Amino acid sequence: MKRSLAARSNGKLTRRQLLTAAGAGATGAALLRLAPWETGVAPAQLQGTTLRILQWSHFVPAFDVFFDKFTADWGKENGVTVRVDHIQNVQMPARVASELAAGAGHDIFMFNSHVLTAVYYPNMVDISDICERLGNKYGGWLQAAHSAGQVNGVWYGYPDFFIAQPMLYRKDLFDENGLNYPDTWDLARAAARVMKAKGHGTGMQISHCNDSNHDWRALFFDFGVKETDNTGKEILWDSKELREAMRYGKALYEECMTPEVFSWDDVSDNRYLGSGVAIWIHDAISAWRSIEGVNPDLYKKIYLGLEPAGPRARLNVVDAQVYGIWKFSKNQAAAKAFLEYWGNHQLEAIVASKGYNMPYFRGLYKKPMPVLGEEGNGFSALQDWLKIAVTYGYPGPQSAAASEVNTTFIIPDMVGRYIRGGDLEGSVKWGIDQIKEIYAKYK
Amino acid sequence: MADVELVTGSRLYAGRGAFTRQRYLVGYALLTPAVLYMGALVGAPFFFSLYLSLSDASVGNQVARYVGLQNFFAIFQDSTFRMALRNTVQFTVIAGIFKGLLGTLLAFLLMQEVRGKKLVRALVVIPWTLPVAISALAWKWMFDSQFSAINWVGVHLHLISGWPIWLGEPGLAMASVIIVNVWRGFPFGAIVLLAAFSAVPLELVDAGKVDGANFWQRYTRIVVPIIAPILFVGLLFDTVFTLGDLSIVYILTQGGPLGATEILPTRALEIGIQAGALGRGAAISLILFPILVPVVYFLLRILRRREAL
Repeated sequence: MKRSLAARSNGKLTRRQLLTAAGAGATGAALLRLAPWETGVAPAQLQGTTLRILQWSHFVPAFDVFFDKFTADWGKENGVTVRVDHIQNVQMPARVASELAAGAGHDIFMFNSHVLTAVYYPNMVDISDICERLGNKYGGWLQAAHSAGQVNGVWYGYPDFFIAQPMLYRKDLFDENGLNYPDTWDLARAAARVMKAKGHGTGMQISHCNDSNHDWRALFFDFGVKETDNTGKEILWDSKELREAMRYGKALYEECMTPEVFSWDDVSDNRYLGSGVAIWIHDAISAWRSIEGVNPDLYKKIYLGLEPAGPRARLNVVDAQVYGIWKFSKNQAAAKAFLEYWGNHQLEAIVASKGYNMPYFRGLYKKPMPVLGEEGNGFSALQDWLKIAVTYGYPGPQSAAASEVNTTFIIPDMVGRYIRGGDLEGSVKWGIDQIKEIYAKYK
Repeated sequence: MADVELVTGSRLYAGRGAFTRQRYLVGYALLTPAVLYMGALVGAPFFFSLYLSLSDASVGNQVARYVGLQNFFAIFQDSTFRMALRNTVQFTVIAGIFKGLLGTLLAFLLMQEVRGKKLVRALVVIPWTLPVAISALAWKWMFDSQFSAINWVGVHLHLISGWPIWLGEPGLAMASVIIVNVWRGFPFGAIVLLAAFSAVPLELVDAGKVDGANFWQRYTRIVVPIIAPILFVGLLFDTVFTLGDLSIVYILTQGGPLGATEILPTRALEIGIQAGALGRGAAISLILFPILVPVVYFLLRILRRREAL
């Protein structure tokens, strides 16, 4: 001990001690910079700064209350002033575009459903370090997360959560009529065919709205349709599987739906279910939750089921919600620190959103999951979504071209042309030509 | 005797010159805010759009490459764009005709001396003053496929057979967006006409009556020529507003079904903002400019000629 005590008492350090102390200091400093993001303690450089977050107004209003408090608490603990601005999801694309054009605005922003990571990534911060750490910690990311958050293997978007689109069916009507639950598209069709005659048909939008985009894609993917190859470059829409699915879709419409579906928007099917008419709908759980307060009896009769299996797959097209950090952000350090901290609290997000926010981490799908595994009415089926969640562009990424196919409603229009009396080949050709034109523009 | 200074001719001219210069200076100074205002709010966005339309700009990239007329060629190859162009013209012309007819009728009604005239006048402009998002949402409910109040009333009064799906059938969907645009716009036309009618000298109308002119002749030969400048300006405003009317279509149909109500503003939004292809979006939004410029030019020229008479 002489060495150290003597050195201390003399106020002198040997060269070795100096190097050791410097090394320890550097390591400590590095850990301090890293550890705070895990523990919620911000490094000194963040203190006194402001973090601005732009995101949607959640469909579950209680979640916004929770999130605002969560961010405020994190800000208080870390000496960061956090401001969260919530806007309607339909306003988000224009707002995000205008922020980049101005080179000013928020530090963190969100993509809702129309995920344009592939378009915006040159102006988004590389957050691979955060995403890799979180992915490793929570058992890896779902494939759908890679599609939404990565471009050329680099993480630019933090896939926050996705919105599942399960089957919501009237168990009471299925039981009373001796019908099998809609675990496959054939069973769903058979049940709706029987029940339409009794005043309980079904409906999937064939119109210009988001639900129409993901409902028909899900059905197509279940029949084996693929949008592109894994790279997103080669178009694979034109296939015998697409024709088979189109024929099935027409039969499903003719036997089980009414022409109302041509006019439906995103909430029309919610109202259809809430009115007590629908035998089943294929939609987010908000359709079911919205009934809870206004019609508790009906609410109890509605059950949640997995995506119906098709002849070749069981894949559900989910709505991705992705955070990004602007390169022009003056507080990227706080933004990254917050996102990583938030990524460590996904289970709380599930609870606060009443099961609406579905996590992208494989490791969080351990049964029973909070809310999902605890609630009745078949809600536990959501715990199996890790096996079936995909996004548009499947199996390729959500590329700029795939986004344009989505936003211009080519798939609902292709389905609509055929169902309204167009010939199959003509309708498919129209759709494929449109898709090819779009992809050609991005070459 | 007071000293009198003789003002020579050259000094007089010099004084006049200074006065003229001063007048010009004041004139330009007064004009400057308006020019700056127009330049900032109209000129800058216009030239920026023009620049975008000639580039491969995207929402995600601040650096754009000049691509000439490539975006314009690309959009004309797109069959949905061509349909949107056709729909836009159809939407604007049909809505314009109905707004003109109903606006004139309403203006005549509002001219009548009845009790509560002021209240009635205030009430009829409500559709025009309401925020478009609110009124379009109210109409969306009235056109709802399941709960349509229009269908319910129509069926009970035996005016409608069956249960029309207003926003689901291509023809009905176009009719629906036109109805809402007309409902919103014709009170404005009526107010403009009302103001114009008040400028018509009654003695001319009376003289027409004495000469045996019937109502139609008095209206077309006496009233319309007098109020023509106001009609032209009103028509111009309405055409421009209708061509750029995104909200009604976006809220009611988002351009569906099957693109039947797709108009240029919705197409520009889908391509330029939602899909992120700013260059093509700007090209779509600018496509009517070369068509509108000669129309506006000739309308304003006619106006100027009439004023000169």
